[in-house]
Amino acid sequence: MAGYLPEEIIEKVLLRLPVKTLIRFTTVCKSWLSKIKASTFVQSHLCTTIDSNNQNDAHLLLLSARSYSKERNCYEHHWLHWDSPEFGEYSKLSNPLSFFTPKNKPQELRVTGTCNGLVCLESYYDNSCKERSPALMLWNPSIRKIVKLPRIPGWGHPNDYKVYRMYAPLGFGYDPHSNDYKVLRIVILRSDRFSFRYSSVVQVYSLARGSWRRLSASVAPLDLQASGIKRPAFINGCLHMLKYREDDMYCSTHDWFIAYFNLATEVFGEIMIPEALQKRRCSISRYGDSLALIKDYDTRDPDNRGCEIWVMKEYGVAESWTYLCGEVVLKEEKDGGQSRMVLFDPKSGNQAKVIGSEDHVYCFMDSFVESLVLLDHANAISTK
Amino acid sequence: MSTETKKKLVLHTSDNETFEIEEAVVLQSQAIKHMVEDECADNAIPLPNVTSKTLSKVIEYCKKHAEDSGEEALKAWDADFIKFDTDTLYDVIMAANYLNIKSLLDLTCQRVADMCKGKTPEEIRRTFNIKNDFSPEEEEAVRRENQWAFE
Repeated sequence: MAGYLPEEIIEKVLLRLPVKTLIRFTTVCKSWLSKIKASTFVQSHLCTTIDSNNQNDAHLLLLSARSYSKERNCYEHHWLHWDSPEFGEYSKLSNPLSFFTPKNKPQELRVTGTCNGLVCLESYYDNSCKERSPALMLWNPSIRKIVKLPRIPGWGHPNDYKVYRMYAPLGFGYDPHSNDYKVLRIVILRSDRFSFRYSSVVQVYSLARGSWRRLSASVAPLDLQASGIKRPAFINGCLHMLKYREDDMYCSTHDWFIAYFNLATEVFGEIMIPEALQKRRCSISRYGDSLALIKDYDTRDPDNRGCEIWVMKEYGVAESWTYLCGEVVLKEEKDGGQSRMVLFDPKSGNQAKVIGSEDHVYCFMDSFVESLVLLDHANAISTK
Repeated sequence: MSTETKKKLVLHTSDNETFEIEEAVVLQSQAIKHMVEDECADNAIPLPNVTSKTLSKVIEYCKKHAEDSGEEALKAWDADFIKFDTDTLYDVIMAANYLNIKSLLDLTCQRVADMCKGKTPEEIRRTFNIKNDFSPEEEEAVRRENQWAFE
């Protein structure tokens, strides 16, 4: 009988169980309930899961899409798929908004990013205010729990500083030094159309602290002042975004580089991009655990239908940017204004197949791991 | 053909049997490795917590893992090896833990985990001889909070 298995062995067995099974087993007895909810167990379970996924080469991807009903109602969908050439569906995730009443339901829900099984969601309400300040929440779909973030604090700016345009990209990631999840918000305010006068405010939310903090003005480098930071990529403890230097406002060519924000030290830095990609339009991404750049291909040019993937094999070492080829990747393709998901083989240059439904607008994809994170959080509420 | 005689170690089980095994095979046990390094292993190594039945299974595992069969082949062999009855499984876990053979411990714990996946909480209590110390109301409250996990 297993009755005499010691605690340490039972713990080793529990660490190898999937999340749903562990949640069921919280009703076995009080000591199992407290053991499974303990922060140390949640951490160890995450590490065990990551190791096991690496060993078995079994990884998951989170895929999000929107669809619209005839009445123009917007619906969000989230799935987990296998990270394999077949891209098989693993599960469809339950609606994270189930705890909203119809009156409270946001107009639009976006995914900021995902990390260690947590998904950061931005919900936008219809308001006439120019400052689109979303309500944020951290969602763990595997245990169906959500933590709502406190309202994003406003900031003071002089009354004569009219806000002509405001961009406020968000990034989400994990700080391994303090075992903390953080959200980065960079607010870029442009005062008018003609002068390229910018001002930026950097705000950081920490789950451990439970609050927002504004970083001092000296932290944000001047070169952040420009439009269009797309979703930052989280790699190696840092959030990365593609930026260009704007020394001369009439300059037609830009000097691109990667700006990163270290979540542990809360300091910005720069990484050079390879010479070959300097004059190209690129997107920033992740390849395995490494930083990657994908050169966008031009859909209008039939001869240029390729995508190049450059991977920074040694993080931070500019010389280690390596050009990869022969990989099948998932890519969004704009065909007559619509977006589709296609499987693309850069080697052959032919698209392999269209994934998913053409009714859906796919808006997010990244690696995902099922975890217990937030189970140990006092303010986590259950979704259905 | 090598004429070199490989060093053998003698292991003495709880039911008074002796096993003579090549050192290289047995050194996969960190516990035995430390004993050999500390030079406590001149005579037979006593294993008062391990029966001969269990030890022969452990030796079978260690012998296979001392060979160089390739990762895929080894994984397939492991999957086949682990198919013993639950009493033997628990004995092998205890032995792997006592002898500190990490890969065997991982393999056997994973097997127990796989067997637990489909069980209900009541079946788990019976398997591990655990007393349910929740009151019916308490148990219902925990269950209701995560009702989706029971569907």
